[in-house]
Amino acid sequence: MTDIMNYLKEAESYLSDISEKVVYPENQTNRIDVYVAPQDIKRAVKALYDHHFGYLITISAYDTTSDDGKPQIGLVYHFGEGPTICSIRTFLPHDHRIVDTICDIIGSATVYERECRELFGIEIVGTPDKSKLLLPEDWPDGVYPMLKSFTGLTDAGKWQKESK
Amino acid sequence: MTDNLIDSNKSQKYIVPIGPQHPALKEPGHFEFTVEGEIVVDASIRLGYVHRGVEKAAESRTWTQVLYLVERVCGICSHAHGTAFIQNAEALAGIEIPPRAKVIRAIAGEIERLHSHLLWLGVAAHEGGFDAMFMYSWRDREIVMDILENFFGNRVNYSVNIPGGVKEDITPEFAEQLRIKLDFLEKRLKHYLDVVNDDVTFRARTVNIGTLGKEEMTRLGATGPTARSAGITRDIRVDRPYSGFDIYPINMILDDHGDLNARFVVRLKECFESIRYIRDVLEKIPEGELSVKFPRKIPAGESMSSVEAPRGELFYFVRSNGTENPDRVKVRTASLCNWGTIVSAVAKGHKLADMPMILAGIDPCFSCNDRMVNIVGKEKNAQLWTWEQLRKYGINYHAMQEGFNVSDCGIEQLREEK
Repeated sequence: MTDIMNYLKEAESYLSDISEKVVYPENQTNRIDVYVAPQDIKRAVKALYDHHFGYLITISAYDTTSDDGKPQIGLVYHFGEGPTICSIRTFLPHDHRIVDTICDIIGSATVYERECRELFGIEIVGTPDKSKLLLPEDWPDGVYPMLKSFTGLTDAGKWQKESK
Repeated sequence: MTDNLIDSNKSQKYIVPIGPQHPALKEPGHFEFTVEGEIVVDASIRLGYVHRGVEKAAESRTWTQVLYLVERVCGICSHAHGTAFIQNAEALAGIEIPPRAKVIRAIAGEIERLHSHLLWLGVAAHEGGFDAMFMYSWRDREIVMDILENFFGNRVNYSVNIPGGVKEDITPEFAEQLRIKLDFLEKRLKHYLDVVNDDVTFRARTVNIGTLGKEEMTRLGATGPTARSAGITRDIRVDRPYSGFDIYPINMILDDHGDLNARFVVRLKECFESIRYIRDVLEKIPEGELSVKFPRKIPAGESMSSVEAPRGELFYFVRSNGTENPDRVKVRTASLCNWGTIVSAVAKGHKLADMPMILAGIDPCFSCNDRMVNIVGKEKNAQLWTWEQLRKYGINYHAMQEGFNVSDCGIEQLREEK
């Protein structure tokens, strides 16, 4: 258990000057959640990378609402190290879904960034590959299926017909 | 066509797009290799042909329904998906499953690993033209499938897990049958390991092919047997032990060569370790209940954890909003991050003829990935090959290098006529 705590404290110390809030989740003792501002994501990732803390597991996005009820996207960068998981988290308001790429630090993040771009409409500044990863080539622009507001293509029948 | 390509145009760049439909790999994926003469200089991939929107579908189903849904993400490692999801749900609900259920989950996971590795061994051997090995290993895989069918009532999607525990108990009769089958499998696996280590032709096709060093693998975030074949100590069963592995630990199998041969060796040795683990654990499986009550509604919160699927780390991120349905289920499969290693590093500088085995070497799973990577160069003269053509090209190329003329002996034609 002390071993786990050491890892978590280590991660916290690397991110101490960037973090806005640090949470140790109660239901999982091997985790730490570090909240940062959207513009600090790259610095935070670089801090962990430069200290050789873990490896990027993936980037997750989810559609949620803030405490005052405004819709926003949660963006989580999961890092695994030994028995622990360190998550760097930021929130992007729906009307300003912009974040910097981390591909120049961790090249293999490109597939995860493409996924966030495609399914959540997050604009990732400087990401090397903006081509479609998952959705069909003729999927309509500006429709992001993982947003809660998406319940299906309204003209699905027509769209299917056209694509044939 | 094949022979012409070997002989001519050594300096010209070609793009060789392969797929998405190709009869040999059995799953849809599209690759484009840019070649200069024999050597691949660029590679890309595009997935998405089997994208089914599982993550979106999960948001409108109950926790129990999602368990059965995610088991169908992958037909090979369905138990790994189910376990990864349900252990997050259990963490959110704040329940601890009984030790006997944990151990049964671990045993099921190791049986699944055996069948997955044997399946892969066959496919990878087939891509290199070692069809006898393919047929034998798939015959032996049937024994594992029989175990799964006898135990859980199904060959694939066997649904060992239920929310809060497991469905079936391990009876003494089943354990006895299992031991006999494992003894036989162990003998066969020893033979395969001998072939991989000693067979001259097999070694010629695998040793020092597709080599990637430890540092680069770490940087690219490789996982599973692909990472362990380069000496990276990364195994979720050991690092973050989950159901069963926290009670009875398992050993990590490592190799430091980092080439294609090492990926064979690591997977085969993992099979031995799985067999040892199952035998040991059957002896001391704890008595007790199989499941505990699982609530219909789960308190709001979030949970993230991984399991070691046969291909590597399978990561699930689950959020609950306090209702009967999950708010978000995020899946990161092992194949996806291993694609990165192949596309960005391994493929370049190798012969086109080695591509089928190199690609098969990471044990790609398309329905897991459901994403596609594009390897399109800017040069013209693109020539469309199917995967089968590439596989034949690879086999013929290596045969010709050894002085055999494959077309003369007529084996391939005979096979096509049939």
